[in-house]
Amino acid sequence: MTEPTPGLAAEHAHHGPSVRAYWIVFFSLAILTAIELQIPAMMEGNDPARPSGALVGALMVTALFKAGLVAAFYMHLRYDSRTYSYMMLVAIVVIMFFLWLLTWGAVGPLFDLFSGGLRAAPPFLV
Amino acid sequence: MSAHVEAPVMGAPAATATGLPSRKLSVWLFLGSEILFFSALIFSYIVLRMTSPLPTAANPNPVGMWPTPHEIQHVLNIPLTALNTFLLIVSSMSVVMALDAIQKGNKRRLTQLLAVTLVLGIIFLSIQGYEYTKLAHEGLWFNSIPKDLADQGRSVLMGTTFFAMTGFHGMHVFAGVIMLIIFTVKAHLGLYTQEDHAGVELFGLYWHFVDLVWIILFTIVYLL
Repeated sequence: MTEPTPGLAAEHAHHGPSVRAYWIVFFSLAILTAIELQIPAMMEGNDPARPSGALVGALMVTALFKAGLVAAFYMHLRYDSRTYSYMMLVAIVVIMFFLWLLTWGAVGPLFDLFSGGLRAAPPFLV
Repeated sequence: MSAHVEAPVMGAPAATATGLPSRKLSVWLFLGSEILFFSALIFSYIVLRMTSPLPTAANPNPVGMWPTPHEIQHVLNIPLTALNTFLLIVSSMSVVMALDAIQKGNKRRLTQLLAVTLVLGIIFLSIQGYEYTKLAHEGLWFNSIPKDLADQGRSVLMGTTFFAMTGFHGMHVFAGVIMLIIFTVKAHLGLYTQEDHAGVELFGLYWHFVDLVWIILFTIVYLL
């Protein structure tokens, strides 16, 4: 016999982040945003034409961490079925694959993302 | 096996083959497609910026060079945009607190918090509209950049990609504001209950996603 379908409300009645967790995430996001605004001034590179690799790395790690907090706690991915997380993971993997193709030959070390133009197409596209 | 089968909660979505509620699964699938959409815009920006010519000792201002971070940040109003970022973070907080309120059966607080979110969304859009007006006045638009930068041969694609990314995000906020008007009215009419408030949760997923995208956009467009 089929089990009754749990509603969304029922699904969340037993688990989920606490109000305290929501507040901790909120203050973390606010503080990280304030820090983010100071990072460019703290890490100004020698080359005025482009951001340094360290600056790109520091800012992107901070932004992705903030995005992760929103997804994990506000969007409940940390508490919901793993299926939702896997669906998002598939989308991210697909798009990262295309970024890898698009930036072929240009990226080199991860943090040199903005350092130069495309120098070579993927060999299988030439 | 029991002969008694408990009826599903009123308004509860049907389960899919995965056992997950169909409406929630649909929203997550939609958000997955949104990841691809915004990533396409962001990666276009990254690739166009990476492929623009760099200055050399012989030619410090090559035609088509991307405006430097200093030049961009001189044009964009970062403190105002940081305020907008903070407003979205606060609005995400008000949405999760609204969900928490109705999960505890507090309908009045749900209405109040949705109304707060609505106001924050409208302020965000107003600030973005003001920012766009100022930028257009300074010469930054879809197909143009400020005259001093254009005279140095800087790429107009900076304006194109800037407005494509922030404009599409703004349209998502606008859609969220329209939804918020509907949800706030429905909450005011008492149509959400402790047992049936799926709409609030699903709207929350959308709104948090819009916040999440802005967190990434703010860093890439304004700070780098």
